[in-house]
Amino acid sequence: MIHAFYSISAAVALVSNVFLLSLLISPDPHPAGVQAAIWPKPAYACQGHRTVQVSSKFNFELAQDAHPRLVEGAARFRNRIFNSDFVSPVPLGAEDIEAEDRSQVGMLMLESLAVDVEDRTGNAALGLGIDESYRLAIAYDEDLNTEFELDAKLCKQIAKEPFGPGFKGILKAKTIYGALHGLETFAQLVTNNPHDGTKEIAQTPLLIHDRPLFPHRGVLLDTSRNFLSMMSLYRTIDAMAMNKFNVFHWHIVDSPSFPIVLDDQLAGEADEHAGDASGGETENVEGTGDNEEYVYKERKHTKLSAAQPNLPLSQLAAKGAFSDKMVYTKKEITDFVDYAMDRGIRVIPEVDMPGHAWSWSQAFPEITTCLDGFPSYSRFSAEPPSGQLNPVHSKTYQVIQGVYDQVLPLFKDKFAHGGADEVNFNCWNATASVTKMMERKHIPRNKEGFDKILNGFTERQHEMLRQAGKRPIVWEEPLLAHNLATIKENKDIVIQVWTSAENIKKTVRQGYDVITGSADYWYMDCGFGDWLGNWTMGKSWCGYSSWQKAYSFNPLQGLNSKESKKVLGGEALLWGEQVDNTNLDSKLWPRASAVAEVLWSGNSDDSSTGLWDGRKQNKNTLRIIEALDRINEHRFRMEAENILAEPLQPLWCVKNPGHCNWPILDTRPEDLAK
Amino acid sequence: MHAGLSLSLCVAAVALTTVTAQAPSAEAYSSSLPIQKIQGIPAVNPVSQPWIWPLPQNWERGSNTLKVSKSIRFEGKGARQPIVSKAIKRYQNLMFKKEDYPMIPYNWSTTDNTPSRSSLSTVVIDIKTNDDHLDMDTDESYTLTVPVSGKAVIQAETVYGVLHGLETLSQLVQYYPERKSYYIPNTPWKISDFPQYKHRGILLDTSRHYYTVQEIEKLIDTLSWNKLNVFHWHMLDSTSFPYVSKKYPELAAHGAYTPRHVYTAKDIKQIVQFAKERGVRVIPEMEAPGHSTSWGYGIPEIASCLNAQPYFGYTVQPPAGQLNIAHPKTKEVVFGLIDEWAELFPDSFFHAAGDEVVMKCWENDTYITNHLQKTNQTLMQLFENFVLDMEDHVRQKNKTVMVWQEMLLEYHFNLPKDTVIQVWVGSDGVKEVTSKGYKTIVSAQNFWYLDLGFGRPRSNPYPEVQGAGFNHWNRVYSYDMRANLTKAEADLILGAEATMWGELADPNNVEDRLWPRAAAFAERLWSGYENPKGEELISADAIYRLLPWREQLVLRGVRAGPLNQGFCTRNPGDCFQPPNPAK
Repeated sequence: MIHAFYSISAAVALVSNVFLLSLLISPDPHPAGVQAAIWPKPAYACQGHRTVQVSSKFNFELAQDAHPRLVEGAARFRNRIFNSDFVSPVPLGAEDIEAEDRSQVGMLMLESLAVDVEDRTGNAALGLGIDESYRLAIAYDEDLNTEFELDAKLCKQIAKEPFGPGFKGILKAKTIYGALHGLETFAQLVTNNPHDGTKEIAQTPLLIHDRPLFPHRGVLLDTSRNFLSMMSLYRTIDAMAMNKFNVFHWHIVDSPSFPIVLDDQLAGEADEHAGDASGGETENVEGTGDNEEYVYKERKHTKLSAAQPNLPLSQLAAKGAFSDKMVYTKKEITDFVDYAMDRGIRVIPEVDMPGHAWSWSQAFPEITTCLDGFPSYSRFSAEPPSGQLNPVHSKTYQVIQGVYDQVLPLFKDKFAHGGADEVNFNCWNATASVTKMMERKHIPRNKEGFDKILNGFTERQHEMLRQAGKRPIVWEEPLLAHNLATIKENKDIVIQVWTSAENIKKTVRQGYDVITGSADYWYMDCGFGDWLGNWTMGKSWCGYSSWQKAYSFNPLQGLNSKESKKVLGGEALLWGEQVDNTNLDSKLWPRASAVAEVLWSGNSDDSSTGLWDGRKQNKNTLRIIEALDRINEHRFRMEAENILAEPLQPLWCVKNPGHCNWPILDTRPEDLAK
Repeated sequence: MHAGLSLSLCVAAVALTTVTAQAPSAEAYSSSLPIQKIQGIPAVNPVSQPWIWPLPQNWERGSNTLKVSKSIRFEGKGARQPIVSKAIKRYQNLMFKKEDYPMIPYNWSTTDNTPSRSSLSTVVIDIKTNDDHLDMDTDESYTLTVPVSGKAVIQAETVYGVLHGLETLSQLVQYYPERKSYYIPNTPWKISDFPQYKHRGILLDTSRHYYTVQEIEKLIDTLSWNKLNVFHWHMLDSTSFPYVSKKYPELAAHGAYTPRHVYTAKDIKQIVQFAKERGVRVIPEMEAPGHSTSWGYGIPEIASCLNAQPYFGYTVQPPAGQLNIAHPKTKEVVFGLIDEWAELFPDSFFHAAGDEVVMKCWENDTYITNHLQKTNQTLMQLFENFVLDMEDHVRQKNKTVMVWQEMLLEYHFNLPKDTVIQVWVGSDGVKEVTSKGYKTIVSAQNFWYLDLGFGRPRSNPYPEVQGAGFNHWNRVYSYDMRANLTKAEADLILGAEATMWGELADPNNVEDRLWPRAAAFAERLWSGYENPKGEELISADAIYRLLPWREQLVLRGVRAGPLNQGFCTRNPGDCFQPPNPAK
């Protein structure tokens, strides 16, 4: 029983391993289908058994000087609550129906929710680690001390008390972003009475204490491989907010296209664009030719500015985007960033480099290399088209600086993603300007030598990021696949691990903060077959992750508590090879919702329900059975908000909770049937 | 992207030598694999195949460019035929649905850059017969000529051939964004076209998830654009009973998800008529006696092991429930529904199902065991009699009976030779069925199930199921149904159906699931494996046409997913698997 009276669930633990082969579940259908099916599940909650009606005059009580972001947010949630005719297809369990006291419905109205934010004026900037906690109570005023302390005794006490006029709704949060999460939870609690359309909240009194397990909870979208319209991106932000995600990782530029519209840069204009006069020395570089010096040169805060030549940066999109319609303007980007931040979501840009850079070549062929098409692309790149930035050409850095000067200020977040995945040394080894320079400098043409070249590039790139006030995030390769001094020396670089749990461990043990998101679990694009034109039997390089599989991933697997602190969180990643506006929603949702809950409150309950540990081998077990009904409901809730989330089960199963579980994990029903 | 790992793995897994297809000998289609593992670099110059999907059997083209008038006159007696005149209205719109900013701009280098003075302003439609009867043997062939003079002619035996001709004509029209004008490049055109397989279908499951009439109609529209001609309506299953029977309204009243999740006789008539006007046959499937839980909510006595808990052992997937094959009421209800459907669905095919029956369900039903004792027969005899009676009842309505393969291959029932067996378990079944001399419709799940690859619709985590993988478009396209068959056996293949079972699909994602993969399937069925000159059709050529066809489907409002990333959409030739990829 999950939602039984004063059941307190403390969702703190994460459990790993999809294939819990040793675990048996009870074949009995569980009491399920709860109106207050909040997704992601709050960290702590206790609920009673009375239904209260929400007044049609209901409003959110905000402080006079509340931040506009909160004022607008509250208006948005009020609209959502009162415009929605969503009725969950997941029925209440019989026990819940029986226990529910509806005698006060229509008599006692919830007139308001008082929203009390400590940081009223919104001083705290949205960023990594900002307090996102909230406490929500619908209960008697006198029962609530200032902290809404939550214990079994209080839960028991308030549930027994008769109704009266002191019954009220209060939401407390440290920041407006915590308050927005609380409002989302509140909106999910309000249900439509299917008979008369009135709004109700069941299972009151209730107390919720909620805060995320991880501060970085992201979704990655890739707008280079296929174009995604602004409408698709906005819709994704809406859906992310419903799942309490707080980072939109925008993989905006990659090899296939360069969709950001930039302005041409006239000589001497660079500083203007950069917005900060970081006062670096000027490195005098030639406009053309190989920059042979940079690898060894000691450069502290050098900045290429005054000597910048004219750079026709507008050509990057003009020639590198799929069409002049398939682009993002600066205005579109800044509006979008504001929209996301209004919903508590940070936007972190990634302009991938020095690999994955074919798209730059259309405007600046001289700064790119190994643009060979079919069939040689396969020597230089994991997938077509091949093309990397040329690390020994000075103009490469001028263009990067020019791009960063214009792109980075559009994103208000303190982090920027530097890419750096899948750098292919065959490519540079086949580039005469690179190898010539290496020969002259007696750098061996082996991995060690190329690491040196990559180190030079990375050092310079990260300097630019830092000068723009950004803390770099990189993919795992610069740390784990290469030996780069600049990574080793800068422990504040955040490493995004996309492969295995093993690599998460390696990364945190070297002292880095890590963002997780294993390809085996949280790559939402996997499993749809290889897309090369002639490869009839080609399979995806990575398998499809069902929601159950995504839910079973534990970012902290095998880490001790000290190491766990280095895990900032994770991301659900949807790469763009086979994704565009037509299928974005159904590829992402509701599977990314499974990721959202793991990152918000974990995938297991401390207090075992008894459903999962029949053999008592694990104290903490996946709460996947209980999660199913909630995610089913959440899928329909998202659909009601125009997110085309896909179904997880036949509708019969959704409507008959507990009837479609797998009986015994290591036996197939087909076998049993024989 | 992060595919670095994959390359080496995949390289190891796949033989890299290009397999040359063997021309079919008179004796046998002897390829031992039903599919070539990797196909070579396009044998054909990409621009040498026209942008027509599916590819016509015979086509010739010139190098003139004909402007297209926005107000084309359709002439001839054929143009006034009611089905044709409605189609003309549709195509006057579809013909001009083109993209201002196409991902795949048309390659105008193959055609004269200065359009001819005349323009396409007249299309003459000539139909040989007035009969608009639609069936498996309906002649769907057509010829289409577009001379430089601009007076196009579509000639066909039946209206249904004309519909295909109109579709082809609409695909010849290309938009020139810079000139904001429409042209038919490469006139004169001479196309003479016909399908290689008569039965080209999609199965949609409307029991596990419901689709509105409009959503079904949109699917049928999309079928017709792909020259598919069968909508196999898997309307009933264990999960819900959406059919509102005149005689037994209690079935839907209790078995449908909600009173809104139903199909009335009026809905069905509307869908059948809609489909007929698009040359699509609607074949209903009466799922029985397995997968029948939903019947039992309305009429409990006709069900066995109704929603038995725990379900496992009683059914291959929840909920449990089969028809009680011993109860006299069961046959009465089944026959009654067949009577109703025989009228509502005029097609001469009727699918009587018979798949995935679980014996334990009946063995634990005392009504049935008592009946067996009383009548002194075995369960299998009872089962066979029930099935054969049901099929006989269908035959009495002058219908051809279609069943799933288990009836023949697993239960070995004594099926009349005119029964059409639908193969689904795997591609091997095609040989088994045809070697026994039965006609077959192929839905091999390892190639043509389009709903697979997304895990189990159960809550618990569970290891991946072997063989239940995602069939991507290339695999769909490249499957050869004739593998290992003799010529005589191959001649028993009436056609095929790609399936969209409903566990994990509903209106939110069904179009992405189906298209463009079902289009790849459609071309294989229509165009066949070789053209009349004996040249093999391969996916490495097809990709050049499938990419713009997918874009066309999107423009026509279908949420067809992308085949690849945009660079490859633009440059298909740069995105092949190299014959010798580097390590």
